[in-house]
Amino acid sequence: MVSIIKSCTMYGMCAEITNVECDVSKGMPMLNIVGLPDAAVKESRERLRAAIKNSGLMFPMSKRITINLSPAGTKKEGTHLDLAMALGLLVSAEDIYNEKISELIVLGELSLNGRVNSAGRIASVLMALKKLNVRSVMIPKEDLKEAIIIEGIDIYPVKDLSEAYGFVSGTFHIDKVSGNRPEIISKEEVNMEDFSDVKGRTEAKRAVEICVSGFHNLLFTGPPGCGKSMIAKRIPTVMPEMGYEEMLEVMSIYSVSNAATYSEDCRYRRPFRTPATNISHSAMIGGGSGIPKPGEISLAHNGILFLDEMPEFRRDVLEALRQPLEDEKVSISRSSWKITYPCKFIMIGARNPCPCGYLNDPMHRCSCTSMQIKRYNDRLSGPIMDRFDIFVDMAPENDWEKTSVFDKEMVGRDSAGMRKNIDFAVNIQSERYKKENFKYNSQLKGRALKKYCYLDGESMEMYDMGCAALKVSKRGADKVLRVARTIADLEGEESIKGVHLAEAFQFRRRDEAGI
Amino acid sequence: MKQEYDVYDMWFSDHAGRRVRELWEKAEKMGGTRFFYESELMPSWKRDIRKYERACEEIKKTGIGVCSIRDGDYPQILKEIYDPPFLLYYKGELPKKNVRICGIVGSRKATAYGRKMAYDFGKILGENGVWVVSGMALGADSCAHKGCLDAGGMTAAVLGSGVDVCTPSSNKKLFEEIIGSGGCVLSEFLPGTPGYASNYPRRNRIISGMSENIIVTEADEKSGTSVTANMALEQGREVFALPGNITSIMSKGTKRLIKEGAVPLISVDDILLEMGISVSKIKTKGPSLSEEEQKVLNIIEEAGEVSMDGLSLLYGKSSPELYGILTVLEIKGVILKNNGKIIVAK
Repeated sequence: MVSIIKSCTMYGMCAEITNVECDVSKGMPMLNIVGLPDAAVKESRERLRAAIKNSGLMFPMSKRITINLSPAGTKKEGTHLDLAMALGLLVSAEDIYNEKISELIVLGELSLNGRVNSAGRIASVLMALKKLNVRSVMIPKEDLKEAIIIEGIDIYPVKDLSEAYGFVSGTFHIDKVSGNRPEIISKEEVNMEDFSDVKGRTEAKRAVEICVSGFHNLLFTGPPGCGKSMIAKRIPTVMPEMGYEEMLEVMSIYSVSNAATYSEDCRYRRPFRTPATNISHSAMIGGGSGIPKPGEISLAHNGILFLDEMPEFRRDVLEALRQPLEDEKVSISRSSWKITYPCKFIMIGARNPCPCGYLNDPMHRCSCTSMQIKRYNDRLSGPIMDRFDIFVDMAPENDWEKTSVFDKEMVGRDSAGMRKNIDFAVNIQSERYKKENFKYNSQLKGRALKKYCYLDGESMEMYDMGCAALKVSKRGADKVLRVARTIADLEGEESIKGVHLAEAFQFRRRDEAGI
Repeated sequence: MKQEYDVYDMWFSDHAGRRVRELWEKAEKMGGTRFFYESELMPSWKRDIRKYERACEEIKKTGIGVCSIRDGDYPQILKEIYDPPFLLYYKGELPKKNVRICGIVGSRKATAYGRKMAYDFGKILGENGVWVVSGMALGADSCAHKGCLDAGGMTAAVLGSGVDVCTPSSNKKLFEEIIGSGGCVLSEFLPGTPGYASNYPRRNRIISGMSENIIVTEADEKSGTSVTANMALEQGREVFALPGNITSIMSKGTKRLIKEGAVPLISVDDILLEMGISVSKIKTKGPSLSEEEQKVLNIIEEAGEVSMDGLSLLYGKSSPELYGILTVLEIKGVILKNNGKIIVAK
């Protein structure tokens, strides 16, 4: 008799139902798996044999066994099909029919002793299955902790193969578990770092506050040692909490990527990714052999991608960021499939004013030629510079600034205070954009920009005057508007006032040549 | 205009170098540079006249002007230096006789202050009909040219390459503007010559040689700008230097010049006074400022150059408000913010 047990195969963040068909009949004793299995799936034949025997169940002897993974034309990856194959084999051999199992999706890897091991990346699998209207799944018990936060799906956790078989044959009862939306409690963390460590640099701190509040991209320019990286490192301490949907998105991206990057933490805190300058194109954008894995930009989804020493990144890697930054998602195409990962992140860049770093520093001599400086600045192309909303130039420290009252008086703001303002502004935005398909001020474009950044007489005058006198381009003017919107939100103002615009103008892009 | 030169002049000009006066005299005695070419003098000079014939055709085609030291429109005071260029190639119009000419030189890596000052000097000279001569390099030179052009004045750029080669190439727009506005771009190098580094000291002597006096905005100690300043002194030109912050590396050269006797310029108008030009412009009143704006401006004026942190410390108020005031001051054009530093723009 032919049995059909359902399981699934993942393609990026999408699932496809795989019917595991099993036929046990007379013939030469052999076990064949067909339907384009990869090596890991093919190997499962050895695991099946041992696991069934070691669970005290009967492996059908002297039978010709064929397992087909349907649809047979797509490649299958992963060991989580083991359990479905074992159950199919047993059901087929013993001729059992149970209506319960016809809609059940079975996931789990088998151990030789019959234990069911983790299927891996369960959160993203369940999220994807939910989109296919799957109601019930059987998963390994050890995955339950991760699976429980996905709401609207019935879960049957199993410990070993005999439990699973008992459930299918109706001799063993498993209590179904329903996933619940968890109370998101930010983990109590002892942060070693705090913004109060940063003395002075009030402008940069303010820029961070605006950037995180409105999800604006930010570029720091300054000599070595002026505190660019120090400030960036402290940004996670002021990031607002994630909502449930955002958290699920982050979790499922992380569970698709390899295990090394996955940790419990991603449930509680927004990602903060700091790729090294020698990163490859596929590590940044996503890719790799087999089914493409998400890259750093997707791992930074709902969080921050910090590119320290930005001009040192490979040109093709930087240019590849253009489309994802615009679309907030990235598609990776292969000949047989196209996979899309979300990537809505804040890009924070840091760079020096010149290759040696000391241009315009009165205390150090810059050793670069003007051509070198030009070439260095040209490494961030126009389109990439266009993606930044906020620009901060950090001045080198003077002697007198270092030695004067500065150190004592310039304590400045701490993370908690900034975080409070940021949470406030984020809440205002989520309230305002409830009916829109975006969440943050940085996403305001075209008509939405006009609608939500209304200027009255006084602020309009400021806007026009500023754009004309400071020679701000049309695109630059839109950025000023978006940033002004966030500044107004930070102040809790409904309309954009002249002062908000005036402040926003301070963060515009300044012409490198000066005059 | 009568073209009083031939390919042998071009060849001669290219080779003469520092010995131009002595050799020119010899050539004159022989009856012209052609005879010099055919003589056996200076055997180390390559006799490759074909190259110059080709270049000459090119010059005629592209309308590049050539002016020899024998011509009347050759800049008068340039003739007086020890080693004047035998020929000058130029695009645009050479300065007429009796025109006042002032050179402005400064570092390519000028600070915001240096750039601003180069621009302002260029502007005030342009407004008063003085030609501004500079080298069209990035940084101070470009700003000086721009200032002069913005004031509707005329300016000459001396290149270290052929006049048909825009160096640096990123200054193409400025290059066109200088020619289009009635000024000129000139060079002693054969058209088509790339901007070799070794050409620049030679170019610098023309900048100072053409000018009756020269303003040094900013210079590092051992820099091309310092070389130009020394050259100007050798040529007997008056050198004006811009006093800078004594901690600033970019002002080391100018501070040394002042110590050695260069005249410090204490305001933008000062240059007119020194050149004996009466200040024609009636001083316009600055824009009206509110009380707070004036307060911030005063702090910046007192400090000269101040960072955001320094300013907020001195101002003693929360930064968001301060940013707004700075924008208003920027719009009114009284301050300038660059590389994180704020300076007074007036």
